[in-house]
Amino acid sequence: MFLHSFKYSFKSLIRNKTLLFWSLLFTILLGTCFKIAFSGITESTENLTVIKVAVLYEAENPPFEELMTTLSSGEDKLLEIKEATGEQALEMLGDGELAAIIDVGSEGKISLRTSSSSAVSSSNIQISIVQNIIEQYNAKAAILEQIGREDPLALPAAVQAVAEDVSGLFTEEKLSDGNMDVYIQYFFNLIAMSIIMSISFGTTVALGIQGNLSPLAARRCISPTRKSVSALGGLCAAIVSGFLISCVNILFVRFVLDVDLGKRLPMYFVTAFAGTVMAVCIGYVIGSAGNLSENSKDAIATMFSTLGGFLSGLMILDMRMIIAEKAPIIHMINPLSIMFDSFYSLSMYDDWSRYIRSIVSMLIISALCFAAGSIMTRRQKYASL
Amino acid sequence: MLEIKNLSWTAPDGRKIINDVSLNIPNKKLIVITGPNGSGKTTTINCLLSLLTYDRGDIEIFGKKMTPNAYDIKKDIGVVMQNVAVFDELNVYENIDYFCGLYITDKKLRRKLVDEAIEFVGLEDFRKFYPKKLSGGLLRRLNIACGIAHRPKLIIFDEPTVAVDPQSRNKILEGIQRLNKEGATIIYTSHYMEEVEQICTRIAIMDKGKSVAMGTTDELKKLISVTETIKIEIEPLTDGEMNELKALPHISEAVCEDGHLNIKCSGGKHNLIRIMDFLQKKDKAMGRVFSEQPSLNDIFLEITGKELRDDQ
Repeated sequence: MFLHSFKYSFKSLIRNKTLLFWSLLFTILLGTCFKIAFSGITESTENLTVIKVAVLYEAENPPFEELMTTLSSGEDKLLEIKEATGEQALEMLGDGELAAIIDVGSEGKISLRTSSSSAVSSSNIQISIVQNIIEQYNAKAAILEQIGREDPLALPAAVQAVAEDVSGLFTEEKLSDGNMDVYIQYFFNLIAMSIIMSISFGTTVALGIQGNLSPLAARRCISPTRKSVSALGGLCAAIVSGFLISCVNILFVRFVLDVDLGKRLPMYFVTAFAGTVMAVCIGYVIGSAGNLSENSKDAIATMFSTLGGFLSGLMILDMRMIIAEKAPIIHMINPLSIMFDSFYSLSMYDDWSRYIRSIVSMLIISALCFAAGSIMTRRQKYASL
Repeated sequence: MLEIKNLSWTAPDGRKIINDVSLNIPNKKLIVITGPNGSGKTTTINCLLSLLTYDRGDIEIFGKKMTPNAYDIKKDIGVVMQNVAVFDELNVYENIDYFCGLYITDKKLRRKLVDEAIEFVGLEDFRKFYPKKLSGGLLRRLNIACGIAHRPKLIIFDEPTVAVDPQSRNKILEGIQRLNKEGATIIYTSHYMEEVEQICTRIAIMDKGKSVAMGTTDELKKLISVTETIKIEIEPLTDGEMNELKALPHISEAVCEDGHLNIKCSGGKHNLIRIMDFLQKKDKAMGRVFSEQPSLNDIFLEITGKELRDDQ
């Protein structure tokens, strides 16, 4: 009887065009849009690493000039030095064409001028880098001066050493072998969203065994098949259908959209399975709870997935961090955030602990929801049909 | 076979929908439960199937008390719902197989029963069709096949012919009679009187949550006052002639208007001969003459009244 229920629940879920649209086609379309939209942005973010500055000399300063030449040459140059007079430089700074102006004083003192309106975070980071270079230089200027006085021939080598020392502070170091592109997070959210869509599958199963909500469910209730057997067959079918759809979505993102998901791709499927179980169980509890109509319960399930997606940053990437900071409990129990964390930790961290924590959280939520749904379904007595 | 004793059910809003209903349905009989909209027919069925928890009363089916967990009783009951209850995503064969599978685990037997059910409702040419591709009549027939495929001993049809064309309706009614002849006990709810007359052997009339009458058509006819209606095309009668006519035995009502004389008789025999004799003596020229026995519709309207129910 379980297999019979499973077989036909699976057929009916996998052929449900509305459910398929939202869980499969919608994800594919949105993923394609993300890919088109973010490919251009990713290229432009890579160009931001070169910091544009102007250097104004009151007096000659060969060691500093040498440092600037070193930092502004080569393929991986850190600085781009714009030729400008004092007034031109100020104008360019005001227009945001420069991150900062470096003033080289007559007594060898180096200082930095920045625009008061440079509130953009990327600009702040650039200013911090230049500030750090200057502080490093000023700190070592005395040493260079002393070398220049005592052994002028050794000065070029000393300057080179200081330049490498200073520029070496800002070489790119990856935390892991994963994709560090910030926009990959949208794809993590997208996959999580496609998995959470299985909520509708769980809701459909729960609605299908409540005789007061549809004639179809009533027909099941009057049969000699136990509700628990029908429910279990339906839930397993929902999990298998949801998981298969999630797998297709992951494979689409990885191989069709060519998004680098890191080296641990098989573990994404483990997350997809745990996430589908969680989503189906949440759907089951929504479908079983209260005496609301079929449409109301469907609406709640849809609202739950959409709100979860919003809070985990599907629409606004920073939202996830805002929620994590301002409402950590919501962040902790938001199924989409949990799935996001698991994908993020797979991609970014070598350590497994955060990933395992996410999987365990999903399984705990699944168990709680399944238990609650089963209790509510068993106790239901219909006041009206 | 089936016994309902003093069944009462109150809606969540406090309205008493069924009030002390008792029914006794013998084995292998076909009984029609009829009544106006909102009379409690479907609610009675839902209580009978343990879909609703009733306030008071007892329901026994096959000699056992019916409860939500009485699976041994449920396996011998088939239900055809008022609303079509099939999966849009499964084709005709799959739908019937699914519902039959809730009762029958043996695959070989099930395949045979599903094929028989398809043949019974005449859907052989539509086995692979999805419900959305079926017409209203075919959909109703699929709905019936899903309810009867497992060969139940008791079949409940809850208004199965709503919004069905006359051809499909006829096919459905013939099928129901065939099931009864093959040995199934049938409970059929409807408020289409012509349908009821076509198939019934016994009728229960419900009104305002109560069972107000039960019996065969002939037994029910005895419960009403008008036993014969006579219509005669005739030239106008004077007031004096009308008074004389009304004074004849067993005439309860007589009206003459627009060249027609309408007379209602209560009981008595040979009423038509007596009236014709009276009119001939008055030397009245007559046209066509009609004499009608009360229809089930007349019985129904007299027992339940003529006021509209949907407005209540």
